[in-house]
Amino acid sequence: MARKPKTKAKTKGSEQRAFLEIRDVSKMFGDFTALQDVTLDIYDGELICFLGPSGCGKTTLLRAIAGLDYQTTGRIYQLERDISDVPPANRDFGIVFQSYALFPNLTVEKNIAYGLVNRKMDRAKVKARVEELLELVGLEGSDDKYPAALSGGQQQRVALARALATSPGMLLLDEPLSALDAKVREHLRHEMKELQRTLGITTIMVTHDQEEALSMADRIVVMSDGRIEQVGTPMEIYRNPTSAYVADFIGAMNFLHGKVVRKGHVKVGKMDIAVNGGTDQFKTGDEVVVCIRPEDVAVRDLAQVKTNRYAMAIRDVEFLGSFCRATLDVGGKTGEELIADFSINLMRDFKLVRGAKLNIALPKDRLQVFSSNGKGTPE
Amino acid sequence: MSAADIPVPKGESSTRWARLHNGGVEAWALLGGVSAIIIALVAFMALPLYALLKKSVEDDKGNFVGLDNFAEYFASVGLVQSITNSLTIALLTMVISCTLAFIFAYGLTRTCMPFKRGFRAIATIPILAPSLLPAISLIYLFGNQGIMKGLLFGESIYGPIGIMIAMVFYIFPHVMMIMVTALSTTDARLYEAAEALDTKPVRVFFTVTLPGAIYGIVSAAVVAFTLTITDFGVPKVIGGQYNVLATDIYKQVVGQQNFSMGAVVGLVLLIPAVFSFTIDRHVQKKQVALLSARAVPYHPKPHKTRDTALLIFCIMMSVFLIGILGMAAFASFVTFWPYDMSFTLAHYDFDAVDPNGWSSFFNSLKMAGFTAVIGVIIIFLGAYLVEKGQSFPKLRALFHMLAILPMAVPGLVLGLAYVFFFSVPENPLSAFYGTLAILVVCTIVHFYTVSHLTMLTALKQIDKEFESVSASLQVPFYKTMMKVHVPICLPAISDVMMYLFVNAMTTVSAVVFLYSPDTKLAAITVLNLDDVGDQAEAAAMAMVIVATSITVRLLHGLLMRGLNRRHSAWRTRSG
Ligand SMILES: Nc1ncnc2c1ncn2[C@@H]1O[C@H](COP(=O)(O)OP(=O)(O)OP(=O)(O)O)[C@@H](O)[C@H]1O
Ligand SMILES: [Mg+2]
Repeated sequence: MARKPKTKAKTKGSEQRAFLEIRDVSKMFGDFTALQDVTLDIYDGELICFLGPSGCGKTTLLRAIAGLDYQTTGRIYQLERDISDVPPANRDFGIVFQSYALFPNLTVEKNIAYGLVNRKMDRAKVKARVEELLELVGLEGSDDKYPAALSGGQQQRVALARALATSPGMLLLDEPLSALDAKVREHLRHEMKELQRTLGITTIMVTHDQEEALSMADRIVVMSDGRIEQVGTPMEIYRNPTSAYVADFIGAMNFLHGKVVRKGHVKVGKMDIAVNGGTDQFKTGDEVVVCIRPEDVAVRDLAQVKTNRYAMAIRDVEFLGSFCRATLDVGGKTGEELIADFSINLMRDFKLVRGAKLNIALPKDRLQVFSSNGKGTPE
Repeated sequence: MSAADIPVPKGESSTRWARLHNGGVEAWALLGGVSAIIIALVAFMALPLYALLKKSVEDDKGNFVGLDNFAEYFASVGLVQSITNSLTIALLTMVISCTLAFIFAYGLTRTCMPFKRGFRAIATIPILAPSLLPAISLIYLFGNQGIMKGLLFGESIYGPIGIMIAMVFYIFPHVMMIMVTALSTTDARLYEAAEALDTKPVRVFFTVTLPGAIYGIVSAAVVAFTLTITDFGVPKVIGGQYNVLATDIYKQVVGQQNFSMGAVVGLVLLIPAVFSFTIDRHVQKKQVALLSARAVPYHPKPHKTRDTALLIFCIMMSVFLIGILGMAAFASFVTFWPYDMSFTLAHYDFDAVDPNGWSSFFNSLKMAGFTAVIGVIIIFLGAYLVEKGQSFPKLRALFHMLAILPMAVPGLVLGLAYVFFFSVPENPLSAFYGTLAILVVCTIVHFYTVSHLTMLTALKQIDKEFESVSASLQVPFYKTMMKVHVPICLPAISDVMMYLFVNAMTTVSAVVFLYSPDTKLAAITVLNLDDVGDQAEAAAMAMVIVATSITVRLLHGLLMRGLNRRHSAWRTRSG
């Protein structure tokens, strides 16, 4: 077996072993580039999410990892073994598809045992393994049912059990929850994460649902147009997006368009916003966007705050259950808005209603600055 | 096996080789399967057609003569007349049958008249009979001794009139089924909108109904045209002195042994067939687009005048269809039509009038059985590889293209092409010539396209990730195919087998050049018996074929019902 060249691609501070190394993988469909120079390490035992909008190449990357569709160029190593040209049957993974792809003419038991029977395992052992798996996914007693007689959530569990039956080294999930309704989805999300943690199986999950990714993943790979935008823990991705694209894609985000007036200062409308170091790569006069999440707009304890304090009028308030989303008038000719999320408590304490004036602060350490004509910038 | 065992030079082809090599048995099975079917279709379709083409530019001794044969053909007034005759018949038959079939299908889909299922079953009767049967029946009805001869006002049934009536009978089910499909796939919301706007029924018909069904109508017209112009049985029996292309080929080859001229006529016949084939493919593609947008199914509301009118029409049409079949059945059981109407089974004693007699029927059974069984296996495998194969996209596309082509080749042309290709002693496959096997192969190729498309449709409905799941569980694709795809496709498999069997029982055109005394088929015997004037015996043999087809159809129905019951636990009814 061809060994991969000894180039250590270590992420900073990480002692983890790379279970899977993806190196410069590209995939072409005719003239169309579905994946472009994707390089990524996937660690042993982690749950990693490929997240991105429809058509960004998540499934394509997953299928290349599985060997179901070979990459056009680039290499893939599993535990240092070059599997780039190895067919799926000789790789070591279990897979669950969005459609579940359960064999409709086979019972639940036979579906789960499908891969085991082929390995000439004796019958009693197969039976025992199936029972064990059914218990694992919480479907005891459904052995003799046909998939058509199961609910969507149950089918999903059978598909999961089938993928786990042969104890593969890696689990691949392509939008495993997207065919389910919201309630079931939330429940299964939790269950699957639990299961994955118990088994400690390296898992790659494709999703376009950011909530799913944020709540389940150990690390998230944000993709767009066949390229990786950012890799990091959910917290890193949410707190420190490295591009306006990621900032926009994950969670709600304010984009305030302005100009760098001097080092560390951006002018947005009439506001002069002081920012942390983020303007280093910009010259004075560059067009930039200043980003802040709605929940980071500060209202309480403004007495000590010296920088980035502004008075704004509330244009509109939207009640969203556990919190309210206020639209604030930034002022100036552009008529720009700032969205801020306030707790119900805060709404009451400050008597916030439409038309009221309000002092807010934009905490310096919560602000991020991106070039405004760069790729992926909204508007 | 591992990648290290083979040298890995740079470049794309080496990657491809490594992947194939690493793929092991599975990759080779896929490559081997696709290649084998491609080679088979090339050997049993493309090469014979090439032989036909070559023959058309050679003289009888095999010397190249350029377009001399074509010049000779177009110089012959009699032969060129056949082109006009064929076109006239085909166009008229097309108009008549499409009109009748449209009204009939309208009754089945857009009214609340009773007995719809019965009418539909009756309308498919002609499929079960060789095209010779309606011609023979018409001779009994309107021929020189015909009881209804007076209805023709002195015109002869031998000629264009007879050909057209028999053709309308023969192609009716094909045209009707396309029309039913076209009229069933409509959006009820359009009608509701029209109704809400208080549109007159006539206007609704011309602005909603017709445009919605237009692709289906074009498709039906094309099928009617092709079936008529390429059919050989009807004009052979009832055409009299009226020559058409199909009978010309037969006369040139079997009568005058003028093979080169036969090849030329064959190529001339190929032109309209290929032309209609092209139109049909084009229209089918458009129709798919129309279908995917369909929404709410249409449910007709009772309307007394309309329902009664269409009921009367459908009854009349049924009387016509049953009458034709009934006439042949009746004639086969009476001593001497129309003079001695006493009952007899004597006409079924085929051994007394034909050297092959009953044995030709058993040949047919054997041939049809082999065609159905071998055919369905090849067709299933082929469709599976095209639809579910995971690699070699170009090879699979090439195969799919080859699989669509037989539809464009008329049976007579295919049969003739086989003669030119296989009868040459230098051909290593010539041992094949004159055996039952060549009849089986020819019939499978002849009816390949429709079967292939049916199978493809069934396979397309199966989750496309089964192969991926199977690979991830390290189960080879062929095992999953047997365990999952075959059971799910059983209804389609059964449909295709019935289609192949019935067509193999009734076909004349392709096999008429290929049978030997030992492998004569029942439908050919009908032709020969009619040729020598044993008309009652011909009708009797045709009835034996019909009875066999009906039996197979009933068995098919029983099988389907059994399947449905056994699989009801997992087979969810498709809407
Ligand atoms: N077989 C194919 N032939 C041509 N183009 C393809 C093929 N498969 C995928 N593509 C294209 O590649 C791009 C990436 O597809 P992919 O399925 O990986 O997207 P995705 O990120 O999984 O999206 P989704 O969320 O919709 O599943 C898409 O633009 C798609 O149209
Ligand atoms: Mg996808």
